[in-house]
Order: sequence, then C-alpha cells, then structure tokens
Amino acid sequence: MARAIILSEKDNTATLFGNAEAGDTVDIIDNVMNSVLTVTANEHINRGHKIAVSDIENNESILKYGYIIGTASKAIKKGSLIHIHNMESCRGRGDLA
Amino acid sequence: MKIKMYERPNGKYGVRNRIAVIPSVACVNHIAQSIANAVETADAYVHPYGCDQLGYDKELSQKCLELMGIHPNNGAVLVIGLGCEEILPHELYENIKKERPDAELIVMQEEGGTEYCINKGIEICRRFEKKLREIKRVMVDISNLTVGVECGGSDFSSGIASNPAVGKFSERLCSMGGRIVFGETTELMGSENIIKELSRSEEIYSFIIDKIKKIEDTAVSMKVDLRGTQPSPGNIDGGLSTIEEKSLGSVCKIGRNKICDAIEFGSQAVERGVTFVDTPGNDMACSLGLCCAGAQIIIFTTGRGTPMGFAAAPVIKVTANEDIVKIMDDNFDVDLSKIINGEMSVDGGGEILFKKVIDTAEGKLTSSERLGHREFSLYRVSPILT
Repeated sequence: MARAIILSEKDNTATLFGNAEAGDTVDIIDNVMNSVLTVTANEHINRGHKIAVSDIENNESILKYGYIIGTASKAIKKGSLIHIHNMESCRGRGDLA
Repeated sequence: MKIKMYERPNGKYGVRNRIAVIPSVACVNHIAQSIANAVETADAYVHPYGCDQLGYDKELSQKCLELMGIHPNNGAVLVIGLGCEEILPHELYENIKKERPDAELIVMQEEGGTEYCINKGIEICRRFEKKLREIKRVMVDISNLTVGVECGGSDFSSGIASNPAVGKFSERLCSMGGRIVFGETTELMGSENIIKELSRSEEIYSFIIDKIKKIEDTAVSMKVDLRGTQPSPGNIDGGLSTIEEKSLGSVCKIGRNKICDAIEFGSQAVERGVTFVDTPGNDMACSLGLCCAGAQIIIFTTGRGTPMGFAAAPVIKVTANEDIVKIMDDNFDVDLSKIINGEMSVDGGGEILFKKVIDTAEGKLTSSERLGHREFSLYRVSPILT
C-alpha cells in the first residue's frame, strides 16, 4: 500500500512516499508514523507529490505543515493530485499586478 | 564538548588550514587560478568583478573579499592585483594583513607579466604551505563552531526529511553554545508566521520581514511571476508547487531555536545561537554570505542533487532522495532516505549530521572537497553601468 505523510492535522494535503496509481488505497500517516486515514487515489501520482485528503473547493486554501502553501485554482476531489495545474501561489505575483 | 581546530592570530578558530589566493579584479583571475592549481592547499577566489563597480556594490565586493582573506579556515593569504582597478589591491591587502599576518601582495602592473607573477605566487604559496604545516590543531570548545545551513535543488524530501534533521542538529549545536547562520531570504516567503514565532525580538522579526517584502515588491514591480524561478523547474518536478511550500520546508533547517540576530550580507555574526543573514536563495551567493558571517562549515541539503562546494568552507551534502544517491553516488556525505522509508527518525538524522559535522570540523574531507569542488563567487548588487 502506498503511504503518504500529513504534516499537520490542519492540512488538506499529504505527500506520497511512493508512486500511487488510480484506484490504489493510500495510507495517510502522521509525523510519528501513525496511520490516520486512508484515501483512494483518483489518478497516477508520483512519489513526493501531493494528494488531496479531503474535497477542496475552488479558491480554498491548500495547507501543508499547517500553513497556507497556495490556493486551489479549481475544485479538487479527495484523492487527486495537487500541483501547479490546480493550485496557485499567492506570493510574488508580479504577473497579476 | 571539545573539538580540534586551528587557532588564528585574531583569536578565531578554523576547521581547515588553507591558503586563499584572492584576485582584486577579474583581469588577474588566470594568475590566481594558475597559482592555486600548482599548490595543493591553495584555493583561487576567482570572480568576474573588481572593476566598473560603484558605491555600495564595490564596497560590498571588497568587504566580502576581505572577509574571505581573514576567514578562520585560511591561515595565509596572497592578494593578486592588476593595479588600475577600483578594488584597490594595496588597500585589500592591508586590511587583510591586520588580522592575518601571513599575507602577501603581487601587483602585476608594478612587478611583471603573467609568467613572472605566476612563478612568484607559487613560490610565496609554497613558503606559506610549509609554515602552515607547522600549525597544529588545538582542543577548543565546540561553541567556537559556526555552521551555515543552506538548501539547494530542493524537492519534497528536503522539507520533510533533510531540513527537519538539520533543524535537530541546529538545536543541538545551539544548546552547546555554537552558532547557526542561515539566509535564503526569498525562501522565507510564506513562512512569516514561523519567523514571527521564532524571532527573539520585534526588531529581528521586522528586519527579516522587510527583506522578504523587498524581494516580493521587486517581483511585483518587474511584473514577473516569481514562479519562473521559485520554485524552479526541478523543484516542481520534485513535487514542490509554490514558493510558500518550498519556504515552509526550508525554514525547518533552524529547528525550534530562537533567531537571536539578523544581519546584512557581508556582516559577521556575533550572537550565539541562530543568526539570519540577508542572502539570496542563489546557492553560491548564499554560501558566500554565510561564510562572510563566519560559517566554518556549511550543511547543504539537496533533494535533486548538486555537486557544488565552496572555497572558504567544507560543504556537507545531505539528501533524503534515494534515487539521486544512486545517480550522483560520489556527491553526497549523508543519505537520510531512511527517514522517507520510515526506517529512521528525524532525530536520528540529526544525530548522524552532528557526528558528520564533528568529523568534518576535525579534518575529514567532505565529498565536495575530495572531488575538487572549491567554487567561489561574489554577489553583485548593482547592474554594470560603466
């Protein structure tokens, strides 16, 4: 079973420790390696990339380490990959100025 | 705890006993490099500047070269000048000599051509080398150690395993009275809440926040998206989506220590504990800023893998990405991928790093040193106007 770490209980993302394929059950572990929940991957997700651990609405904050790492640019289903295709950085955005 | 280090005439301690060959201007780089190539313990601090620099930009370059000359890892210094440059070779040499008596100067336009200067420089450095061999390490308290913490070529593993393990190391060194210096101002963007929590005073917090804001304002005024470089294509491929995510992983390197001071680039750290230095994220410029601040050793975490070392200090390369260890197998000193595999704790990683730092401080060569990675760069802050 693929494992992913959730770094804070506030987070809506977990980071995969191995590749996951669509339909795979992903064991979500916390900082001290305790299993906290399982999520089914909706698609192939590479090792080190982020999986949504809950449904995320468009414009909702993405949290990792318990802090905001960006904003969803579209609705993201639980179990989907979260990366630059569906989230935006909120900082240093001269292109939006 | 005591460790073996080299005592310098200005009362500071080094972990290496090298000779710095410092060109005051790019025109004499070949001379400096040829000298260093011929002498085993000499390093050439070659750089593309020294001329056509104005105001603060020139002052900063000169200050950084001086701080490299008096860096405690260098026991002797040879300054090579051309003679017509803005960074005055005589002044550079005099300023270094105040704190490093074993210093010599060659000015080409006053002395001779390329061949003459290379031969004279080699002769001087061989004499230095003989003298430096006589200096023996002495047992001194570990609180004389300043370690720079830096990351480059980051991926998901940096912020989850390597940097938190460095954080554990940082907490331990600071608890023993040592110093940690960190920079990479750009890579603090998004971690302001943590900086606020860790800053010892409101002044320190404001200093750091102002520096972050300056970079963000510049990006906004240039109408660029910082994501062109932050995170870099390699960071993104490695799972990092935004600068905020990268920053929150990066800040783990200082652990839960309080930030006791915040200083400008080209300044020396004075406080014990953690000092912030305003450096760019650029690896070479950051290494320079941390060594100017007094780092005798740099711990450098990299998920993607980078071979770079630095002239003034041994660089300890750390990764937690098992794939890159297989590809660039001779470029790493510490492999923490067991943390990712769940076979090692972050505390355990900190323990391994502590042992590695002590071994390195007492003379064991790092991978980058062994492979000849002794890079150097200055940090230019103004465009070339003239």
